[in-house]
Amino acid sequence: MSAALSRSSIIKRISDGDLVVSPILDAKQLGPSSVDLRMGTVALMSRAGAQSHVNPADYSPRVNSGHAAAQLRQQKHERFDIPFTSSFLLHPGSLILAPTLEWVVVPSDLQGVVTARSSWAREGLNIATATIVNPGYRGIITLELANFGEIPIRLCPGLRIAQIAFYSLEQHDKVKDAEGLQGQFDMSFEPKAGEIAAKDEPFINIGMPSRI
Amino acid sequence: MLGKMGTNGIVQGNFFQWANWDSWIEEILCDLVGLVSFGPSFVAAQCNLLPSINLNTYGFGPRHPSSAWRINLILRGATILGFDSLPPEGHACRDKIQRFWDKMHLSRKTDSWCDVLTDAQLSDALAGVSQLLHQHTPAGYKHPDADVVWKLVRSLEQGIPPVGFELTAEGVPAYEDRDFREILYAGWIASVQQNAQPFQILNRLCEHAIMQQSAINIQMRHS
Repeated sequence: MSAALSRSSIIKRISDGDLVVSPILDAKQLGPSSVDLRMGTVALMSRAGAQSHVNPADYSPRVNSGHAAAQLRQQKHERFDIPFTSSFLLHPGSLILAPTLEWVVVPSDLQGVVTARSSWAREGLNIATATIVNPGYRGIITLELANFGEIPIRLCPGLRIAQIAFYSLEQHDKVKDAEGLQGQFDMSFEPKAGEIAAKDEPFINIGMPSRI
Repeated sequence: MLGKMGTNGIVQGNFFQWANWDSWIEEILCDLVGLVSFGPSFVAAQCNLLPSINLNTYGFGPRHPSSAWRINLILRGATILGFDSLPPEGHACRDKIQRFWDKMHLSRKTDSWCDVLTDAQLSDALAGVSQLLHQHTPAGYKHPDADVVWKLVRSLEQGIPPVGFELTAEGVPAYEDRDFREILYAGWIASVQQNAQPFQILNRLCEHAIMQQSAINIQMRHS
């Protein structure tokens, strides 16, 4: 039966070098069954730009491939570098992709689950999606931060804004897990737009226009 | 090389009259400052960069010394400063460090014309530059001991940004102030090993580590 790792189990696996959450800047980051994650120094902000809507067909390699297609997809994100001790205002209704400060390596018998810290959620900061971190993943974790409140939220790199819990997997298959890890985000250094159409082309009407 | 220059009317007797020494000395001084400021990562960067500017490294003009001269100067300076000395036999990182320096020294040109300064002159120049820069911490590079280098290289080989952080078995974070030049040195060492990660990955891991280390340093100052 899968179970959440307790604080002592997390500490043991990190100090053994099996599980990596690096760096942990304060012992207070280690909760009873989770590790707090801090905001990194980059924000990708979604912009309306030239795209009328998000169209999975634009992400299909059958339709758009190569540098131009990648550039098209990236155009809807504006990149901000936010040095430590400076800050970023997240306005109501805005969405940013931000990396964690921590580098995370999840061993093949564990799965990570990322959630918001409740204190921030109460201020309207939402970390809505991509909560599962697959076994074998290595890299920063992309946080999708949205302000659901009515006033802007000042975000500073280094703030603890999310948390990750680890769950052991039943009967993990190292070979198949490794195959599955040829995923789109393995060894991520900073956030990037996802490949929303990957392997779903049969369900996409590629004739549908994406710009008006 | 001397023969080729001779056909252009340049001989050892009039060589330095022909060169614009004010321009040359500026570049040579920058190399010495770079060496004392950045250590082995400067050596590696220059040994990789300079041949890309001038493939055979012998090309030069009145305003610029040849790349071969600069490479030999930097490598000789690294030896004088003790950067390429190896840890004792049996140290876990000895072979890796040796492999790095062996590769660097392969860039050395054997033509005697490529050694622009004598060892005594170079030692004097480096001593003067070192004395100046080490008065202004952290301008001068401090060479880490092999245990530190080994920890950083091992992190890179495991695909983890190399920073001064460990979690003890009791769950207490332990920090060390790792200078960005030590991290870059480890990156260069990792890049020349067999089965090394691709250079661009190692480069990103080092870049990420430098960012993380600055957060660690902020935390260390406030705790």
